[in-house]
Amino acid sequence: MAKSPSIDPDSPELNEMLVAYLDGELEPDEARQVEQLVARDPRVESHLRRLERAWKLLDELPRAQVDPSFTRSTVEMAALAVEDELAPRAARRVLRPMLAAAVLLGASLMGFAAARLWPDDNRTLLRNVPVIEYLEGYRQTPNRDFLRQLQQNDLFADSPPASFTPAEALADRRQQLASLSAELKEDLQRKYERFIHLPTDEQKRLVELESAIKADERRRTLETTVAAYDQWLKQLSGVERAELMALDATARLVRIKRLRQEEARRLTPEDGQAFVAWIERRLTSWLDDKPGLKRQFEAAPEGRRRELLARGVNELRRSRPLVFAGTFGDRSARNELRERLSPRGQQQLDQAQTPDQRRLLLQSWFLQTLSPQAVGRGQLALPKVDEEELKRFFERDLDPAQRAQLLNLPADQMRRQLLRLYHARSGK
Amino acid sequence: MSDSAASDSSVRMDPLADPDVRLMLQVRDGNAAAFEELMLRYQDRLVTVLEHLVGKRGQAEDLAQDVFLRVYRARHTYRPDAKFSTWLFTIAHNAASNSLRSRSRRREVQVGPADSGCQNALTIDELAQAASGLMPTRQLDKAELRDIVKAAIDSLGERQRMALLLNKFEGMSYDDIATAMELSPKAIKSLLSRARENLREALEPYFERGDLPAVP
Repeated sequence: MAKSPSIDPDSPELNEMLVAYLDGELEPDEARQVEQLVARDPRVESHLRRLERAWKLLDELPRAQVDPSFTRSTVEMAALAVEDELAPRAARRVLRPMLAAAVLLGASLMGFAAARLWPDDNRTLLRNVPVIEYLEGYRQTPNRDFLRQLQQNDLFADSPPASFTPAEALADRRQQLASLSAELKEDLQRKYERFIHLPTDEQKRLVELESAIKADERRRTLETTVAAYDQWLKQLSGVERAELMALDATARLVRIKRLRQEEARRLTPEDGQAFVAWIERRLTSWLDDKPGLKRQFEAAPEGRRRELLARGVNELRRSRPLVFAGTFGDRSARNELRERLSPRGQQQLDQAQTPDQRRLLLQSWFLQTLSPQAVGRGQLALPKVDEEELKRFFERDLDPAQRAQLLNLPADQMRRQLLRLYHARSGK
Repeated sequence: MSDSAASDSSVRMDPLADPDVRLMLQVRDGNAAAFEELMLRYQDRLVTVLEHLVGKRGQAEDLAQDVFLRVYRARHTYRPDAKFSTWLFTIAHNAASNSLRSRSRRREVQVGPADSGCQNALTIDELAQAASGLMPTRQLDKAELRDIVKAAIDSLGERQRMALLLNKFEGMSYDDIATAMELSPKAIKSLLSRARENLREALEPYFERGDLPAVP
């Protein structure tokens, strides 16, 4: 690193330092040195500016968005790679050209080929249909007791019935599979592929678990539970499923309970808006005898108002707990809220019967709509902003450091952060 | 797994704090859904970098597919020594370098974006001519500006381009780029400095006026 204050403005060393400065890669004292140079020498300042402008032009480069078939064909190729790993060496020599050809046929044809390849006498598939159909549920069930606990805690009692229940006898199952729709067949085929590529020990464990369930005196209940659990797991993201799988049985049960409780308290976007409107109505009526504050609140732009609302609620709870309880907790307040909600929201509210349950529910709704995270996410609380307006804000109102910081974020995070900045700025 | 993923420069953080590392550990343990999730997280990013590196969308997708399959095949031996993205782009860098080398051997190297799908794509020679002020100018539109920037990127050497793309699109630190490209951080600093200076020289004519050389 060049340290001389009389550095040559055209030197490669200075260029390195300026580029590293723009990239935030300098130590604080080195950064200060650059800033001093820039302040002292207009040629250095101009060079820095031109480097930055060239860098900004790279924003014009297009970003790729791949077709869903890319994901699918790659996953299928990975499945074939597993097959390749498992096949005996001699068989592999024969199989490889066939597998490669199958891949080249493409995703839709692959589904067709797979359906045709279902051999009628495929006893592995027929024997294990219950495990294969509810594969995710079985995989995430360490043992029968775990399933009993899911059932005893009523964690999936309100789940809709499964799309199909495998028949008991093998002959019936064969007929049942033959009459499935092409879509269900393809889905089952995909799960079958996953099942046969599991480690042998894991396959054995799942089959034994299914036998244990079948032998249990509460067999039907446990089967219904595993089917509902399977459906629920499929709604989770890949990350959530993977993280659940990493937990031991006790911790997994705790996590599932927590996730189910959160789901029970989750607001729809419409109910979220209704809840915010209720908070606003209750809070502003409390502000009636504080006209100054009320005017300030009403004059604030939309995004800023949400922040003021959240602050107002927190302030009221902290400094005037009794007024707070009366404003949001009494029966008339609750009825007013209930009237604004959808039938599902009303049901959620009605199910919270004790004051503690109601407090937890309202707290959760508050967090979902008015917490800084929720406002930052812009999911329920922040009003939409016109794309062009947002673009203009990004280009004109942010400084280069803010823009660079945003551009370094993944797209969804960048958008959330940009919205947050937009509303914070427009609220000033 | 590449040894480079275990270089000192990238071990400062706790790799397990990286959610993608945790996903990859799930892939190692046989969770196919985790692999799909990783693909969904990275496929657009990977294809973006590879497309600008090799110049062709189709080839970029083939390479990306190859990279994901390498990741999958390496799952049994995966060790969480670095951020997942650094490991992924190490593999991508190796795959792209091999591909570019074999393309070079087949004497198929073309100057400029060979398959950009744009009829008016500029070569770096045209850029230089424009910079010298020899051509009349007219106002740029968005697509033309994009072609100019692409031509400027294509004019960089392969390593400068890779370092620049990882820096710009992935926001990677010099240390992480060094790991991914199996070079020292000092070499990356110098590489990026030269790349940015070349870029500045190529694009400077368009700073002030936003002009493009007129098509005769």
